[in-house]
Amino acid sequence: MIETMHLTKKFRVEGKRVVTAVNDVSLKLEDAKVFGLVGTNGAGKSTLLRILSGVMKQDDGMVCIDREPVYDNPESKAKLFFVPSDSYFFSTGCPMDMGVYYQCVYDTFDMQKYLKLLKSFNLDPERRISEFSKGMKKQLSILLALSAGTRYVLLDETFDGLDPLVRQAMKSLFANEIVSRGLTPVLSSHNLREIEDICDSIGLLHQGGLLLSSDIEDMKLGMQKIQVVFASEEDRKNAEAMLHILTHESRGRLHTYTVSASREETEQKFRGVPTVFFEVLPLSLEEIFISETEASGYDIRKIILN
Amino acid sequence: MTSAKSSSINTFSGMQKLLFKRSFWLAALNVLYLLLYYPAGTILQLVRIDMINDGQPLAEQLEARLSEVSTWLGIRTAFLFPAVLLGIITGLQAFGYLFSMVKMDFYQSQPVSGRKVFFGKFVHGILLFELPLFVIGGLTIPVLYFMHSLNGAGTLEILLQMARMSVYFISGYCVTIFAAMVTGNLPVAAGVSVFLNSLDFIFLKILLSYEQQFFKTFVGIYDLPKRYYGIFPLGNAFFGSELVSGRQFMSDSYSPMRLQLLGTLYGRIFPADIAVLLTGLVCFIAGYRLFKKRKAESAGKSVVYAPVRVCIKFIAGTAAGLGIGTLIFGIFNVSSDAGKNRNSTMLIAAGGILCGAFLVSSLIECIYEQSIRGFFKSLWQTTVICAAAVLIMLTFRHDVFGYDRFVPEASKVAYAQLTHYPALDSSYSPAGTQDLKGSFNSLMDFQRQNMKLTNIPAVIDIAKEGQAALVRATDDESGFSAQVTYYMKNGRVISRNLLIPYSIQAKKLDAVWKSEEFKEGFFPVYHDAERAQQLESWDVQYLNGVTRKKGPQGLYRKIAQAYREDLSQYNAATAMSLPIGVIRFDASWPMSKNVSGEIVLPVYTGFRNTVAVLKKADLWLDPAADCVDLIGKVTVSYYGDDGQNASRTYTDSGKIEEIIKHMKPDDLDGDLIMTDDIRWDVAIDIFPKDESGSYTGNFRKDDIPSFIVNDLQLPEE
Repeated sequence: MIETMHLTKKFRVEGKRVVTAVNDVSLKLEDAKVFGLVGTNGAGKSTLLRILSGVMKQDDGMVCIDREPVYDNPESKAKLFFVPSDSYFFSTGCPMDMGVYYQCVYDTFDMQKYLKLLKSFNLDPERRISEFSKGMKKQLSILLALSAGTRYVLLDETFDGLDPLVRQAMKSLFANEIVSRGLTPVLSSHNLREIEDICDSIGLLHQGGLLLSSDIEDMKLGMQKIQVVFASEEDRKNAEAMLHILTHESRGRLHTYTVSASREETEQKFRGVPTVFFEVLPLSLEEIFISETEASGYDIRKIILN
Repeated sequence: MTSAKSSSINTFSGMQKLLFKRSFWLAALNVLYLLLYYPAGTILQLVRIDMINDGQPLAEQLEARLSEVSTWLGIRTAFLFPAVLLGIITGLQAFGYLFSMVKMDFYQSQPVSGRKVFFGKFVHGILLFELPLFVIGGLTIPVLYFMHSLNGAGTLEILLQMARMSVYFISGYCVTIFAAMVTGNLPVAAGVSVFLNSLDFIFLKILLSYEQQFFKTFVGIYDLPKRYYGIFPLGNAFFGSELVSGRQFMSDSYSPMRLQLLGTLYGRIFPADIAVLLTGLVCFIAGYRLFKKRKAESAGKSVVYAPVRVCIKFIAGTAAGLGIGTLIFGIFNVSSDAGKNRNSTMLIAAGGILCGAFLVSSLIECIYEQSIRGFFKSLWQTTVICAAAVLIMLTFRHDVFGYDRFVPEASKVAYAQLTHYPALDSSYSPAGTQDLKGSFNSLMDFQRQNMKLTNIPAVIDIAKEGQAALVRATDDESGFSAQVTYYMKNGRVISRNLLIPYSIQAKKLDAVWKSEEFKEGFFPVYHDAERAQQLESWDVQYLNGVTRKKGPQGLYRKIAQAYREDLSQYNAATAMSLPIGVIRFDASWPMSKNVSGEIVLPVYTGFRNTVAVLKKADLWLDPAADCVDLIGKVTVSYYGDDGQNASRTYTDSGKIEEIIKHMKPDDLDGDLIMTDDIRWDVAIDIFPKDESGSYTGNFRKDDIPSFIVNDLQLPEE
């Protein structure tokens, strides 16, 4: 399990000005579950991933993998593979060279699997990587990560530059790895929609701080979106008094609510309320986030939905 | 489960293999350089020297080959710089990944400890140079043996030089590692590394240049008795080169290597090598400690630590300003300039220093900021730098620290030397496989080796007057140039140039000139135990200015003994008088005797013992004035500035006697006689009756016979 406690990282910029890139972040990333790290550019995602992968050292707090510190600890680092947003490849190297290199770095690296994956994604093992497109390089770095056989894979701006088809294929690959060997991917993105269908839990970073971190299913279970046309204005007032409303919109007589309650609880509360129309709608991850963060006083649309 | 210890990158050979794949180009560069330098360069040098010596006796050809190989591959070579430069390139290649966040992400996330990365890369860099060096250099040695171009001492020298190359390479490499740790991008790291590697050299050159420009008693860079070393490798590669192959010790610069010479030459540069080694060690330790502390986010920054930014800016800005000042002084030749021109030059120089310091400081700020907008940033720092540079120049200009007035406390001086360039020079330089003991390149060299004056107050008395006269430097100041060198009890060596006025009290001079210590340090008939045997076989002749006599070999010891006895009456007045003749020992064909040089001994009136030996050996000639009957004719010529020349030949014995009486023969020269009043435009050529050769001389300004003035219609000077 990857665990962070009160993780803080500050950078000195322009002489004496100090920017807090990661501010008091505490997280627990459970094994064999996909964790998504969402936030705008500059929210601190990359810095957090760099600290998790041992590239950077935190100024304060701690980060552990299986209760062992990560920074300058080869034992811990051997359990993870970091795919940064901009991966480094040897200037004259080809995918085969990278594979051979990683084979020396990670004793769990599976060359056969790597070659098979290269073939599946139509990447020539002998072609110079410098001739690859941005998307191909991204594919290659993800394939290297999956072939490394580490328990944790940390991916920054995971699907940036990948076309929808490849993006989907990559997601299936992750799913297979999770099932087959209990891989724990940690994905970061500035766009929630990009990773919402793959993550089991999500952390929302804003200005270095963790706005919220939760299991998606838990969030979905405790939050409902309902559309309702009340029989009278008085009925509306009575119903609203019973509900813990997170958001409310109305168009004419049609009211749309996001409420904090289970489906059964919500349906039960409306049984005694005269309505012309009542329906419980599926709630997207985006809507859950809007509701949760607006409740905390943030406009999520400005943060991650661009 | 994963295990970091089992991955091959965590083994030494595994890491080296991986690193080698990434640094193949650097290995190729090292191999190329070493191939060009060792086998290719040496063979080309040998081919060249064979062509030059084509037709010479075989022994000379072989000696030339030994000399060529020794000066090309040995410690007298200038080729330490490439080793330092390769060290810099290697350091930047090995730790260049620290400058890129993309590479930091790649390398730092891998399961290898920082310690292993550092040492793995460090050792790899060394192996990249050392392996080819010892393979290529080592293989070149038997090839040279096969070509009869190497002797035992030469082999030892080449191996020593290989070890020195390693030291300079590693030190340059370590300095670069340190530079890389305090910087965050490649060009800045490269700049800082080159700057650091040559920092002491730059500053010492500027300092010496300012001393030379402003201090009249400064003895001149290449006359300094002390040897300058720096601490950084690039600087010491320059200093070392000057010490063993440069202008300071010219006579040793081209000869086959022999153990004695190797010991002597290496003795000069050994402290420099030790300094370089220690600098490398300190930089390595500091570099490793900084590496451990280095934050990944430092990648891309120009300089990681704020105090380092200020230091670099200050040092480079000041050096640039002062350097431009040196350039301006050089162009306007400020040291020989006087009056109004000198003041104008000072103003121009101050302006140049300000501009240079400002420009470089501002450019450094631009580099720090990685933007042209940095040009006017931290202006207060730039102002301080400009002010400091001008202030430093002014401290030299006004001799704030009293360089020209320096007089040591007598109690703090261990011994002193009061040396001067003698009128008649001597030298003794063994070549080939000869022992170096007793050798000296000039009488000045002999004095530096042997003079140890302990009557310090007497030396200081003379030096004070000499310094004051040199600082006054008026046109009517008449005196002879000398140098005083104080060997302080604390190990310091301090030298000053002097202009000892002829008006100085004789007793002051005699306090030194009459002392045994002075004579033993000035006349080569002393400290001659190692030379005596060789000198016995040299040709000897006696000259009185208008004729000469050659004598038999085997006279040296007898003459030296008599000469030493006569020197008991030598004093300043003797030194200021014209000798009646000179004894000259010289190796008629230096190479055949494996030694070159000549020993010249002036014979003064009253040197009875010497004269007696000369007479006994049938070498004696009466003073010139008494040899008129031996002279066939005398030609006196006038060479006017306006191209008007005149010449007259005299055969009349009366006129010849008159000419000889007033003439100062070129062959005869007193150490301290005045030469300011010589009419150099009037030349005298004397032709003896026996047609054994010709002799030359001049008149003094107010001592030209009237018939000469009339005959040649000499203008007054």
